[in-house]
Amino acid sequence: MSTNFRLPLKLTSVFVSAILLLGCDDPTDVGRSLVDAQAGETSVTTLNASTLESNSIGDITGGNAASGAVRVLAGVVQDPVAGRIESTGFMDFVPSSQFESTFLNNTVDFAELQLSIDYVYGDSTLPVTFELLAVSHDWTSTFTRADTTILTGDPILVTTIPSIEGKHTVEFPQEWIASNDALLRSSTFVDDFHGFALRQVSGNAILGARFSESIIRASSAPGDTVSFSLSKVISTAAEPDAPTSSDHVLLRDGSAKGLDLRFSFEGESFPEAMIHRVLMRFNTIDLSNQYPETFARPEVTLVGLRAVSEDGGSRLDIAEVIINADGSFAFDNTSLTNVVQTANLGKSVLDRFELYLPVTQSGVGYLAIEKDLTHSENYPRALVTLTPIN
Amino acid sequence: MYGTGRKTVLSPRDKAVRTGKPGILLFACLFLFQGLSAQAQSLNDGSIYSRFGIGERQLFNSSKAQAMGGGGYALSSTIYANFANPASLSDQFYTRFAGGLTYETISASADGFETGRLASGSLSGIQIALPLKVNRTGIGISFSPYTRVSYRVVGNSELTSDPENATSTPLVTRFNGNGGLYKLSIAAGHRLNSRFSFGLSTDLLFGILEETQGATFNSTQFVDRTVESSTRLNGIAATFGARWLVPGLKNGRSLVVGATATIPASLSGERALALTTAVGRDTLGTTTKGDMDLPLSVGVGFAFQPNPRWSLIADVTYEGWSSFKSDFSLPGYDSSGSTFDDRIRISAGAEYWPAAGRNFATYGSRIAYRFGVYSDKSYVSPVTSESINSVGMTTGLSLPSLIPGTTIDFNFDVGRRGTTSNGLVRDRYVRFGLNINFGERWFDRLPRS
Repeated sequence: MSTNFRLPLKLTSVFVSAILLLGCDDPTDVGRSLVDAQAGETSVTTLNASTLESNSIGDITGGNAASGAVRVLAGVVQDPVAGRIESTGFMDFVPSSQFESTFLNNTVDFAELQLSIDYVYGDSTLPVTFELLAVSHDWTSTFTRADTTILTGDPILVTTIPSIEGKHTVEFPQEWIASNDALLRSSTFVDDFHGFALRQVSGNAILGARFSESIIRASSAPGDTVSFSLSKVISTAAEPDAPTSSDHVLLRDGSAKGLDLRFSFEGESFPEAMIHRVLMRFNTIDLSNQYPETFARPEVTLVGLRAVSEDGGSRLDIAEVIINADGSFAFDNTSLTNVVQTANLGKSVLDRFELYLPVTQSGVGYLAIEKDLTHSENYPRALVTLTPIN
Repeated sequence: MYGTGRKTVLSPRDKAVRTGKPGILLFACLFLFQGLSAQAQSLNDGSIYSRFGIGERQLFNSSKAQAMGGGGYALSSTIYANFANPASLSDQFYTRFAGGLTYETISASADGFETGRLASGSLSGIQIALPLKVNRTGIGISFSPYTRVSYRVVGNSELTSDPENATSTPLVTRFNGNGGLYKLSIAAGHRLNSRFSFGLSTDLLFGILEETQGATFNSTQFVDRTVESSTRLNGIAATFGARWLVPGLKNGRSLVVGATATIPASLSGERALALTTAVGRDTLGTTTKGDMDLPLSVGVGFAFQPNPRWSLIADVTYEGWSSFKSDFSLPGYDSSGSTFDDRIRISAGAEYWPAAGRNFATYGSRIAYRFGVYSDKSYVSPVTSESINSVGMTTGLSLPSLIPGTTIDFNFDVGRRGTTSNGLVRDRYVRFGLNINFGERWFDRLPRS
């Protein structure tokens, strides 16, 4: 190669090698102050709930084995704080197993209803008297709310149950057994039998019967004794005189009323931003000092949050959290953050949040959620970590 | 080439020259290098000042002018295609290919921050020029960056993520910028007489300005997000140029005055925003359309040759950015009233070429030595009360290569930009430029046997 070309070739090689091999250092923070002045800075802003009020959308109290139903509730209680609540329990049954021919081929001469009482809310010193009513039409339990109406038929029996936990058994009258003998042994029992309603006659408590342990037992002479398990339940509710308060709002389990929750995550007051975290905090008020000692009130330990469309047709369960010992609770997960991000960008079909007590609670207890603006530090609020989009 | 009687036989080297293979080979190499430089540019390690406005203004007229301070409105050359002034295209003897790369290192400092070291590479430009009529009429195509956006800033901080419980979380905020506008010029120059030439170029401006801002928390409680802004722009401008050889100079001296004017151009564009997380990308809103009005630009230069070995130039560029208007928001720009400053660039330079066109001189004396200085007042500043000024010194060597008519130019540019007062940043930069300038005679008819 000509010596005249060696020098430029060498220098070119050095230059290309420099581009390939001389990497840049780690990114620098020099200039950060210039960029911050122009761009949005990440910060945490606290937003009070714009709406926290009862609505007419009842709690979902219908359930079955697949949905994790816990119990069925029935009774009437006059709550010193929360007012009167009336609950009627509906229950349907299915054969627990394939019946043997010894039962199927003989007349049923005995049947009893066994209720495993595991929940008492109200005056624990007074027994509660119920009437058991027939239900003659099919009904749905899945996602059914407490304000639903189901027609009931003629009363079958009346029974008095002590307001304590334990097993209670009541025998069906022979007239009922005789008129339902064929049905109890029929292969179409599941489709043709629609269960019972349990409605209070007297007392001051709401009792709950455990889903997995409440059964009908029946036997045919001289055949086997068989059992029918609960297949679905609904606990309807009515609150004719629910009181209101200026410093708290009640979130009641099993209620015909729900709790609407809204924040202003979009619009002029909340411009478009990258939402990194939403932490929703709530505080509750302890009102137990307003109850006599004999008034049984099982603790509410779990609360849930869901996002709901305007018509209620679309639901997104966000989280269920444990209530702290001081009565506070908070929701803090990426599902919530992503829901709020979508709402902030104006792309969400979800209209509002709902607070609810999970089906695993399955009672009539309540949370008194603090909403006194004079104590703004306890007001329902969302701590939003965001970066404005410029 | 050698002859044996009636038949003329070309040597393999001459055949290669006639068929243009060296030129094609060189340009293949340049395009390969462009890929490498694009990779380097993707590292986003340029000046933070490139974030503001529509990016940092770029300049590449020719590698010769680059090493002489960056001007060249009056520069004449038969070796280089000079796109500073389209009138210069009337100087063409050969078909010229030229292209180059620039590698820049920056030491960025600001009060209260550790000095940052940055490096990036980019394309300087690609040029083709050819004579329609030797030394009278010429045309050319030039592709070069018009502005450049290339920055990467990372900030580490602690965010009080839960004020009620006084808990904090480490936060990493990233700002990246990428892209810029490019200029594709198609130009023509014509020599009217021995003293006056004029030219015209049509400039297509196009490009994408991309900015991203992201926050990273390194915690499962938070969702890391990035917002990306992408603004596509395009428009057409036109540049008029003229050169005049001042009469009356004797003893081989010459003085040329050159001037150009680029008429204001309107760019149309659209901007899209997108939000990105680890699981996907979401377009924000609808694409926004708008216009940008670029300002009038005027350049005046002088080129003085006291003798064939020396060339001296001086140039002034003025761009009226105070009249800039944009429908899009830009860092450093307030749409309620422009906050850009008029840009003024002043440069001067010199070239010493010992061989001065003597083709059989020694290799060392055929090397051209260049030097220049410049001052550039930027059109945009993050702080309206403080201008961002650059001052620098350029130098370069032009080395003849084995291929006739081809030079390999090495340019260096050392300078300082900005200040550390008012919370601003001072960049100290060093730029290395590699340019290949190739020329040969095309469209020659082979002699008949």
